[in-house]
Amino acid sequence: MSDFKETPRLKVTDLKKSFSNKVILHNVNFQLSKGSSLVIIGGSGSGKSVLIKCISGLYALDQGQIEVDGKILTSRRNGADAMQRRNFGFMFQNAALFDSMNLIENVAFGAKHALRMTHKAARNLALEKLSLVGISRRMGNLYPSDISTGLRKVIALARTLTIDPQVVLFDEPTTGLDPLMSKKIDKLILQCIRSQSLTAVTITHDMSSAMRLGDRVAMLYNGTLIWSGKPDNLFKTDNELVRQFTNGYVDGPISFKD
Amino acid sequence: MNLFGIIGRSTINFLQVIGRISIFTYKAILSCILPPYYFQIFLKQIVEIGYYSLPVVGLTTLFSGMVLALQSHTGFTRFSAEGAVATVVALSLTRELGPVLAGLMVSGRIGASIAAEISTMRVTEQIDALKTLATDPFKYLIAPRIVASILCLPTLVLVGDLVGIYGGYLVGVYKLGFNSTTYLDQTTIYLQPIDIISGLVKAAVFGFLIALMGCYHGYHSGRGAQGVGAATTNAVVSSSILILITNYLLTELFFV
Ligand SMILES: Nc1ncnc2c1ncn2[C@@H]1O[C@H](COP(=O)(O)OP(=O)(O)OP(=O)(O)O)[C@@H](O)[C@H]1O
Ligand SMILES: [Mg+2]
Repeated sequence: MSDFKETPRLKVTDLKKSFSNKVILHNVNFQLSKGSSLVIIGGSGSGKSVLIKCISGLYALDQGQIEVDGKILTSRRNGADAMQRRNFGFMFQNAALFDSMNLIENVAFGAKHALRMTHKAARNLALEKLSLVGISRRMGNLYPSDISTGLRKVIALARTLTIDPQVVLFDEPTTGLDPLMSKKIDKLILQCIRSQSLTAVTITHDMSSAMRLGDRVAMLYNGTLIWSGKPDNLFKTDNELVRQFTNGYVDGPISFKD
Repeated sequence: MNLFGIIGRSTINFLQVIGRISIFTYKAILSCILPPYYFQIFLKQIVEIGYYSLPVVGLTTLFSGMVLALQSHTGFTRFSAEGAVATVVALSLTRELGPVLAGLMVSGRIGASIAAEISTMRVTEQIDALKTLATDPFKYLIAPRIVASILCLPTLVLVGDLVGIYGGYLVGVYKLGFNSTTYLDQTTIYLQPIDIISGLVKAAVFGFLIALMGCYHGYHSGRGAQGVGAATTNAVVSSSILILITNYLLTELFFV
C-alpha cells in the first residue's frame, strides 16, 4: 500500500481465515510502521473482530503470515506461548474484564503477570492508569458487574495499556460511550500512540473517531480490505462502497447478506 | 439417513472426543508440573474445594455410617454375628463408601462450579483476555484447580471416614446397645493400613477426575448461556460415571 524505508513494525501478508468452511477473511494485506495508526471500518459481521484476533494470535491462521519488525510470528500455532512472544495489547469489543476481580486488580493483572511486577508496584501502576482514564481509587474497588458497559470499556482500555505493548489492537474502543467520553478515549489513545510510538489498529463504527484516530483508514468488505487511504479521503473517494458506508446510505452496492 | 453413515459419523465423533480429552489431559498434567505456579489461586481453590465441601461430605458420611450400622446389624443378627457390625462399618467406609460418596458429592458441588466458572469465562472472552495478558489459562485456571482437588479429596475422605465411623458408633452404642469400648475395639482391630490407604488413593484419583472433567467441559464449552448449562451438566455426569468406573478398576487393583 505504501513504501517503507525501514522494516514495518507490523506486516500482515495474505491472511486467510475460515470457520468450518465458511471463509471469513481472505487476501488481507497491510503494513504499519512504528507509531502509526490504522483504523478499520466495515459492516457488522464483516470479520473485523476476527481479523484482529488473528493478528493477536488468539486465532490460528489458515494461511498467510504476520511479521513484527521483520520477524515472522505466525504459524498454525496459537495459544499462550505464541501470545507471550508478541507483546500485543488487545482491547476486547465486550471489554472481557475478569469478573472475579475488582477494577484495580483487573488493571493490575497485566502488570503483575506480563511485566512481572510486585503486587504493590502493579497496584500503583494500575491506580495511575485508572486516574489517567478518570477513575477514582474509590471506584476502583468496585467489580465489573457494578459498573456500566461504557465504563467497562474504559477499564479495559486501562488494562490494555498497562502492559506497555508494541502493537495495540482496539476492538471498538468507543462504541457505547457518550460523545464526551469517546472523545476523551480517542484523545488518550492518540496520546499513547504519539508518546510511546505505539502501533495501533483500531476498529470503529464511529466515523468521527476514525477521522481522529487514523493515519490511515481501511475498509473491510466481503472478507478483504477493499479500500485504504488517508482519513480525509474517506469522504472524497469515489469508491461506491466506502461512500455508501461512511455516509450511511441504505441504498447502494453494499448488500446485506449473511 | 443410512445406517452406515450414522454409525460412521458417531464413531468418528466419539474418537474425536477421546482425542480431545487426551490432549487436554496431557496439557493439563504438564501445566501442573511446570512453572509458573499460581500459589494464591491454589490456596483459594483449597478453601473452595476442601473447606467448603466439609459440611457436605461430613453429613453424607455421618448418615451413611449410621445407616450402615443399622442395616448390617439387621443382617448379622440373622446368623448371630452382631459382633461384626463395627468392623463392617469401618471397612466399608474406609475402602468404599468414604471415597465414592465424597467423590460423587464433590463432583456435584465442585465439578459443576468449575465447569460453570470456566465456561462463563470462555463465553465472555475472559480466557482470551488472559492470553493477551501473557498468562496461560492452563497454568492460571486449570492447574491450581486440579492440584487442589487432588489434595483436597483424600483429606475430605479422611475426615469423612472418621465422621462415618463415629456415626456408626453412635447408632451402635445408643441404639443397638453395644458396649462403647468393645465397639471401638472391634472397629480398629481388623482395620489395616491398606484399607485406609486404598481409600485415600481412590480419593486422589477421583479428585483429579472431578477437576479435569470440570475444566475440560468448561474450557471446551459452546457459546452462550446454553453452552454454560451444557458444560455443567456434562462435567457432573461424566465425572460421576468416571468415578464409578475407576472405583471398580482401583478396587480390583487393591483386591487381595
Ligand atoms: N469463534 C468463531 N467461530 C465461528 N464463527 C465465528 C467465530 N467468531 C466469529 N465468527 C463469524 O465470523 C463472522 C465475523 O464476525 P466478527 O465478530 O469478526 O464481526 P465484526 O466485523 O467484528 O462485527 P461487529 O461490528 O458486529 O463486531 C461472523 O459471521 C461470525 O459468525
Ligand atoms: Mg466485532
